[in-house]
Amino acid sequence: MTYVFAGIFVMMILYIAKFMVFDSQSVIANSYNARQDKLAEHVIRGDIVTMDGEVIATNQYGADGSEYRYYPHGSMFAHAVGYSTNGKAGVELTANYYLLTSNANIFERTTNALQEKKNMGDTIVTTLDYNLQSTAYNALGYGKGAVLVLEPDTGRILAMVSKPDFDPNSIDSIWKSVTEGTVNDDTILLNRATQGLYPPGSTFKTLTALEFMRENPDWEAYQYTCEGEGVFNNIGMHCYNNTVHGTVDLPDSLAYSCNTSFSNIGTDLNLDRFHTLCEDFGFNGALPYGGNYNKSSFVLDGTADKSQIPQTVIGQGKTQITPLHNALIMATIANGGVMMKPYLVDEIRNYEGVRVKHFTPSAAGRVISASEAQELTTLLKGVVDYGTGSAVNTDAYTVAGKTGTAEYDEEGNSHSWFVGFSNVENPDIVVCVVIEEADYSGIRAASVARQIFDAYYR
Amino acid sequence: MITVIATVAQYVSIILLAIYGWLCFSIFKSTDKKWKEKKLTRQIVLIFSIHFLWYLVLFLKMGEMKVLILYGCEILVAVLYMVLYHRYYPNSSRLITNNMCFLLLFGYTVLTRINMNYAIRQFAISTVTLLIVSFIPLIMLRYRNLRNYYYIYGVLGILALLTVFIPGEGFIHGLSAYGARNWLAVDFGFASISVQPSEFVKILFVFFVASILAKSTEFRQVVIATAFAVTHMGVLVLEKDLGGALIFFVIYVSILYVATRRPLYFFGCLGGACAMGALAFLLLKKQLFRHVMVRVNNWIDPWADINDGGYQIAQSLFAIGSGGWFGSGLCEGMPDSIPVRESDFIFSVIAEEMGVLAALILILICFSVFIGFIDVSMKCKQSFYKNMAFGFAICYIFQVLLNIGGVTKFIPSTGVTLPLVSYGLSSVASTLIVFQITQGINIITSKEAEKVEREKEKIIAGADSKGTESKRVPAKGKAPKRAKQNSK
Repeated sequence: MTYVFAGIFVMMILYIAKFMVFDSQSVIANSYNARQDKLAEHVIRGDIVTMDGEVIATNQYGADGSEYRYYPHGSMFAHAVGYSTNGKAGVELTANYYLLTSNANIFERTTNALQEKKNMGDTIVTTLDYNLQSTAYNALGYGKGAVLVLEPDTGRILAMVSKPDFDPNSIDSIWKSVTEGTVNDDTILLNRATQGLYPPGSTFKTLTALEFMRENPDWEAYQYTCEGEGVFNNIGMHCYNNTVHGTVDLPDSLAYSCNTSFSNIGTDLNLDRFHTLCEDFGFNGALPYGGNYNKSSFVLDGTADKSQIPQTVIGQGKTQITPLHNALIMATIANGGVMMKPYLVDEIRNYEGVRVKHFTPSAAGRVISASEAQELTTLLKGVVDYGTGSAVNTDAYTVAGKTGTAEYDEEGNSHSWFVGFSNVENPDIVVCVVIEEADYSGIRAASVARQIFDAYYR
Repeated sequence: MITVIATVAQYVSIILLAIYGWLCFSIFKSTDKKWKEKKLTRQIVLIFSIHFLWYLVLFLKMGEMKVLILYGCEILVAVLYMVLYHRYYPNSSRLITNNMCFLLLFGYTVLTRINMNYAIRQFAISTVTLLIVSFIPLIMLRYRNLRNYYYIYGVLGILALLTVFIPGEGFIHGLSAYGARNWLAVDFGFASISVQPSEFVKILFVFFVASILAKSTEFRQVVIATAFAVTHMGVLVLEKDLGGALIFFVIYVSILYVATRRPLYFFGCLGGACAMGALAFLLLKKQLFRHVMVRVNNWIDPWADINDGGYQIAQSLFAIGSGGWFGSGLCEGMPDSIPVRESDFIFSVIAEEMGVLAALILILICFSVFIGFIDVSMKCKQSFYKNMAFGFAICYIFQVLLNIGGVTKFIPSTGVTLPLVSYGLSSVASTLIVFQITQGINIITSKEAEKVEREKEKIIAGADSKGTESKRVPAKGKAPKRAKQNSK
């Protein structure tokens, strides 16, 4: 009995030691840890830079010597970097602990401690690419929407833009006007790239096609004659602009984004299996992402009213998704079926540039098989080669992707989507673009994506 | 300047703590009395040095005269207690006394840091309780037939546990807290105190199991004992005090094993408990076990529900992690962000401000208390005392495990206090009673051992006086004298 307790206590002590050595760093970096603010008493908040060395957040000093936060690129990095007063957001929030920790050399820190001077906090090197971020930011123009660019094989986020935006340098007055309701658009602080929930529109057909392929090993024999409209489960469906696509197989259906063909496919799908597939991809659950985001939802299952099927399988209905999640689904396909955890912080350096900690890519898990990923890639390449994705069709590089038009009201007003990756043979980047109310702004998601791909390969 | 002094004091106190912790265990290396006495005296010096350093920092940082006054009172009581107790009970275990005083002083220090009023009340309660319970060994020496009243302990225990169901707002009525109805409020009109009957029933329960199994360990007796034990646990389950029920179970199984030495009973009980647990789960799933499932889920992943159920444990881990190995230093952490910081989560406050190293040494000190109790139990010749000391040892260490394991996410949290360190009337008072009873057992056992020793000497002396050749000449003069005294 005595030995049992001795054993348990030894285990407990080892457990606590293990916690201190391996887990405590990431635990205390949690943004819910109120102690972080206390660190600011002894440490000057560190800088935030892009991976190509552009400073995107630093400190400046007023005439009276007071220290304040300065964002050299203003609103361009607004949602990605966030802000550190009036609450925190973005990297300022998720990397708060590191920004307020100093790994300056020990002599300097001792001297500072004795003189009661503050130490310099560490520098955060983000995964953001200045070139891609500025291209995405400019391409979105005055449109509303979001852009997310990430590397499918590592999960590093290269660009994150959300519009309408704000200038974090004047966060105090913006915060005031948002809370007082004196601002035109009170969603300017919302990071649409990770928190904006949109109907996925036709980009969702990729998953419908995958489920169809899973249930029908002979899917290559599938044929359907599109008449531009049709009735499925008592619901009338029509193709975009009532276009008649004629006889289509599965690759054609996806390439032309044929709504009637997909509605036809949907009527025979096993909804419980489809539900499982979507949840495997992260719907209705947590995404492997450390920052703030909203959960996507997919509610259709075997118990649902059959009349919901036609709308749902083409990405309308009750399904909602964030641009981050849509990008992750495409990245999983590009990465041979393995989803990598997306992340924004690449490295921690002390203020003199000496590396303190490096974050390495890690997989969230395999979602689909490599052969399924390969088959989907071929289908998605068709979309760009001869279908609706012609805007990104070029000789300079190859792209596989899917466009989308997501209706958000009864009048047929819609958001414009594009999500895809290049190069098809050896994927470099995934680009996900959503443009709200595209009919008004006239900006199409695929053309924004084109500018980003061009910038990457220039 | 204050910063420099505080930093030096912080590191020096950790070093001294480490030496103290080492002495707690190295003391068992030798049986040489003189050597032991020297080490035990050294421990006392360490206790007061560490306590001085802590209060020095507290005074410098808080700058209140009250801190100094409290410090003076603590020292006075501790010194008086140590000196007087050892004088009147020369056979008491000094290691247990040292550890008891140290744990109390440890608690006072942290409570002063958290909130002076807690510290003052805790100090007052502990001092008064100590004054009263110091007579326990005396009573035990006088009344040696305590082992005969087992039915009284059993029935009294169950009745006491049932008092929490007294409804209404009268003089005495039950109270609910944190989802369990396990408090009893005694309302005097002008003031009211709340006690947790299970804290005291635990002691009665140890008396009960120890005595009933000391009488006989036949199957029939074991069945009766088990029936009583199950009733105790059943009442606790109805109160939704599952942590309490678990402690009673562990106490019962341990004493049963020590008394019978039959693994069959031990595993039988474990199996029975699993069956009962499963049955209770099926019957009371809705009312009772949702509360348990929530606790378990919060243990597995506190981060998922950080704003609600996972809040306490997340805050505790933030505190422990942020403090680091050496701690933030007293008054430099943020204990205010930890819920129930003065009682259940006091360990996290210690880890944050005094350092994880200090906290680990605290665990070792607690374990040393356990070893001290076990040592008392092993020296006992009478099974009643042996069972009892063993039961108290298990009762103590199991509580320490539930508390520290709970706040460090080693096991699911059960809402148990850290004995002697945590703030709380019931907890401190009942733990002090446990310590005194164990001391009483030690005193009785040591006296009996001395008696046996004397008897032996008497025989030898008798043999000597008959003129047999012996090398024990020096004992010749003394031994008969003592024997004479004994025969008076």
